[in-house]
Amino acid sequence: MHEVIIHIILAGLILAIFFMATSEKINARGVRQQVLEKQTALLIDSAIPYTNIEISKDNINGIIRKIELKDGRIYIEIEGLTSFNGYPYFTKYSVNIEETPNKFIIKIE
Amino acid sequence: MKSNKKAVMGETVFMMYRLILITLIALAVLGVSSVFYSHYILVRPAEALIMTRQIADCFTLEEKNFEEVEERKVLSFCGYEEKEIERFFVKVNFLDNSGNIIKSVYQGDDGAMWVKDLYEKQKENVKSIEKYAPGYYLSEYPLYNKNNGEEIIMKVEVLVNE
Repeated sequence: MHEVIIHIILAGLILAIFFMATSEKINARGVRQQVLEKQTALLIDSAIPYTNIEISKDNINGIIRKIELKDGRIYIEIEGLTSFNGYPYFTKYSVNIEETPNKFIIKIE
Repeated sequence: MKSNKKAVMGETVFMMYRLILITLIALAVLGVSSVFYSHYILVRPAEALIMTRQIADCFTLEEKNFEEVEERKVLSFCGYEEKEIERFFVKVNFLDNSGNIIKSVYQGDDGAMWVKDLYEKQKENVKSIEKYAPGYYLSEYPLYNKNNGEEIIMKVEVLVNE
């Protein structure tokens, strides 16, 4: 009897771990992160010099913790969901990020 | 006592076997559902359109002389760095009023055009490969030839890979 209970608990734990891993991948947070990264990359692609793109930290896509530009890619962390792949952008101008208490400013110069 | 030990060992092995089986089933079911439910937003066609306009701006607004472009360096000529343009194939044809090519320049892997044709042929049959298709945009812009003042046509073709 005890063995059956141990079996059920272990099986339940395994299923719970996999369920959490899958839900992390397919939940709306991941989609919202993808949307924001791609939208911002497209804005950088089409921006002309001396453009400032302001992104509020309390964003419609969620609370933005961090925006990072690295090796031609933009990485946005939404509600603790770290971005591992980011999305590539292309521009012939210099791009920098400035952080203020309530927003991120992407400066294209 | 000995037989009791053996029985416990046997039960442990059996339990391990069951757990491995459950893990494999969970992996298969949830792995498939994760692929099925994950959402991909395709922006490569938009990127191709933006790049087409940027190239057009390079020769119109920025007034760069098309005759100075090296045959395989059109993106570098317009100010893009190599690492940013690895995903792109860009071809620009400069045509006179009769439609004859005055100059043709490009940059990137022209083999990508073959991949695009393959996707075009297969997308009717297999809808699921559509999200892997390269972004493509082709457009024509009028341009003045600085050397003789004549109006020419600039045909810009852009392909964006994954």
